[in-house]
Amino acid sequence: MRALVTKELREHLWVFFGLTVSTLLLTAALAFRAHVDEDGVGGFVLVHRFFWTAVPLLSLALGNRLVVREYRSMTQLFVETLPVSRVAMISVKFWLGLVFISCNLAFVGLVDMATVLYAEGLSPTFVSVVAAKALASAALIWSLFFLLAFLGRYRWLIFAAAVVGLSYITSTTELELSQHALFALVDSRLATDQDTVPWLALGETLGITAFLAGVAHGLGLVREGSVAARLAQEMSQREKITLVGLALTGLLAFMVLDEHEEPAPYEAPRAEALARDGVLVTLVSGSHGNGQDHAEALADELSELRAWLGWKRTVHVYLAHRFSLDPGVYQRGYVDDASGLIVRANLTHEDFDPADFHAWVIAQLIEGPQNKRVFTEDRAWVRDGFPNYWVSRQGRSRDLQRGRALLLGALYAVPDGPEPEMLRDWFHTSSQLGPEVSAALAWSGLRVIERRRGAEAVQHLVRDVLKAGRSTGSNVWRDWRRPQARVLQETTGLETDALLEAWGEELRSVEPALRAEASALPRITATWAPSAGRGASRVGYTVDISPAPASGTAFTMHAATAEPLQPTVPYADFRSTTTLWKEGGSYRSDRAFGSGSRVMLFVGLQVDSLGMEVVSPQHALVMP
Amino acid sequence: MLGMQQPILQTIDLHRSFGGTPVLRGLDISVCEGEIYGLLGRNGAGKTTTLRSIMGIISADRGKIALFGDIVAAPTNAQKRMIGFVSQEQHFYDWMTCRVLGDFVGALYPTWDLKEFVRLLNALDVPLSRKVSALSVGMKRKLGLALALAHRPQLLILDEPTAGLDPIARREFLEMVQQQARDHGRTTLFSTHRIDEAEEFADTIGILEGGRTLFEGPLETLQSTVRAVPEDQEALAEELGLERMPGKTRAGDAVFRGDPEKWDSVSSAALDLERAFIAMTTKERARL
Repeated sequence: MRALVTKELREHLWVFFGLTVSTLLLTAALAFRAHVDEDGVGGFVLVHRFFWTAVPLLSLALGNRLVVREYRSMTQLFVETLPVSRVAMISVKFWLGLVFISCNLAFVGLVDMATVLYAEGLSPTFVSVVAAKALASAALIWSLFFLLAFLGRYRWLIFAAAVVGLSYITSTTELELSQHALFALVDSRLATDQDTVPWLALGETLGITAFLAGVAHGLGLVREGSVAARLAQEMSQREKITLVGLALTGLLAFMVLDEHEEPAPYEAPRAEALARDGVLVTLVSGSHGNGQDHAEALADELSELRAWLGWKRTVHVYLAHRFSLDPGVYQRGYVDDASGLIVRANLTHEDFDPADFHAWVIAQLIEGPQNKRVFTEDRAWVRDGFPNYWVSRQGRSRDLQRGRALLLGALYAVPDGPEPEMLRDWFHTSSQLGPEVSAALAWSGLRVIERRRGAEAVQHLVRDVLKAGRSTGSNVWRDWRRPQARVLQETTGLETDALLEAWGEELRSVEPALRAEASALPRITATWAPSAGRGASRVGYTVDISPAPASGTAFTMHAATAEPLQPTVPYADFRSTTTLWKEGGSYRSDRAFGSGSRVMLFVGLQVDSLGMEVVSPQHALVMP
Repeated sequence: MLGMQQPILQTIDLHRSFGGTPVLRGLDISVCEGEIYGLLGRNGAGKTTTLRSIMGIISADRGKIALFGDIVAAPTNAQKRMIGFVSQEQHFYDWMTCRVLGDFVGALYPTWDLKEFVRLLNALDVPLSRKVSALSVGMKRKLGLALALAHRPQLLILDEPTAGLDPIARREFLEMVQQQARDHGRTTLFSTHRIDEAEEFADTIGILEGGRTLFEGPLETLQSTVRAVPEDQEALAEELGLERMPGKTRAGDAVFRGDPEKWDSVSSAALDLERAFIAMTTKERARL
């Protein structure tokens, strides 16, 4: 035994020396930090910090050195021919590592003790409690890394799997790790808790230590140590490729499963839920007045929509009344760690327009089942046109009036029909026309398909584009495999060119009065320039509206900060400021923007005759 | 060998498999005190497995090992102190010098003789202060022999000790082993696949094939029991109950094995060890 100890000490002399020096330096650094933080005089602060920073690293280094190195160089085969038992060979390594780590920890404890004694005195009980907790926990950490060392080339893999497994268990069960074993022993109370001995945690720690050390010894002995010897050898290329493949497959599977895993619905205890087949609408507030009726109507509308789209169900909708909102203004709410769509509207306002509201809710709703999928740009017009198509479809009481406004919007956008690139680069088109006018244009396209090929063709197209229940990956693959031109042809029987031609024909055939009205609608242009300030800059801009509205007409400046490579910013992310128009006026934003930020800007004017906001083309400005 | 006949080592019905492949299938050998025993076998015959089982590096699935008169599963540390072992591959600590390695090994043997260790290294031309990592394969083998002999073991076990050595080193090595055995009455068990080594140095030969012992005894016994039989005598040999061996001689004669007294009435010719070995271990009826 003495020969083995001597051999280990001679073999790893420089490692022990290096680790000891590291401990000294780390202790000095920790002491300095504790002094700076002024928390070094309250107890065993250094022991606590040293434990969580250095003990795992010491254990890792010693495990690699004492065990992995021995088995990888196969020198244990030589020792086995000598009059030494395998148990002795393994035990010497285990105890040597444990003693070394304990000595380092004890040294740090002595430094702590010197400080505490100087400051406030120290009771033997306090020292005993801290020593028992810290040494037992260090033994557990060491035995864990000692065992991992016997797992050779798989040690990192198994360690990672154990950490992930433990995280999974703690996140899915009520197990509080902080109340068990070393997590309970070496917590923030270690430094100051003078007389409490957590016997249960101490017992758990020692039990786990014994178990891990036992398994490590077992691994070193099983099949005459040949298992440990084999595990210690480096991975072959084939093994590496297989493991990388398995890891990637596991990651992919986790991502797919995680994507499909929906958080629990948002809990609204006193709210009334309206259930339809595959649809659940909860009226969170506003059950008085027309609120209940509007909720019922929304539930019916969504139920019909669900069946039309062929979805199994829609996202749970939480409807909240906000009397402070204007009738045409709706808000979307977000809840952390819960599924569902929260929408707010002034349900009891006399000008509340259910069709408009439904169109807005549907626009929010159809995003959900796409699994965070970013719509392929060339088919995004179908998504944008669908909510209006749905609420103003044939047979609806408000079809005519709403349809007229939408048609006016489409004519305003493109009097003679869209060009091919407008559909292909739909995000750009939308940024030039604004959300409402571009939605009206998209609606007109769906109407053209309906008139030429029937409502079923539209249904097939929309179902294909809004297909629900797939993962992001499969959707991206599907979109890539089936370009929009092919989808259009397969679902409606129309080639893209034929659709655009028919679209133009339909818009040109609109009665002249309506075309004239559209051409008379105001057009907006704006010029933008940074307006320098201290620290952050504002934006200066001039607006030209033709024909000019009356002086004092309110218009809105919209601004959003874009990420460096973000091509477009969702309209929901824009912040708006209302300003009064004056002929030839120049303006300055209220909001300041940081230097180097990329700001997306446009101006909008609500046109009552259109029932929509017309906008200036969106402009990107990099702040100096 | 004079004064021997007391078995110092025996394996009885030893079995060992690796991953379902049997390597030892009822191996029986008996090494008597003071003799040099040559364990002869082809590659994969089970020689190394036999010696590693005896040393306790691997354990037998079935069977017994009798060592120094005691039946053991694996040698105890006390028994290991009476054995010197030189393995086929040397896994010494590269960072040690020969002296440091000697110190480490010596501390484990009460009978360690440092002077003898130094003398052996000098005799074998192995520099005492050289690091193991700087030694050639042959030098490492010689270092292994010096380590195995310096504690004056009763039993010396060598696993293919001359594999990889040049002819001169091989001869030096074997002569050293032979001298140690003769001078100190040291029982020696060595494995080899080289017939000339067994023929020249072994008192007793054990022939292994497929994990079994096909023959065990002195060379003279082998020559009087395994003989070539001309074609016209084959029927008679079979009639007398002589066992036909798989191989044939180059002349086309069959090879039979049987007790010496049975050969009196059959016309036969003696075989040298090489031909007898090949006839016994050849799987097909190849011509020698």
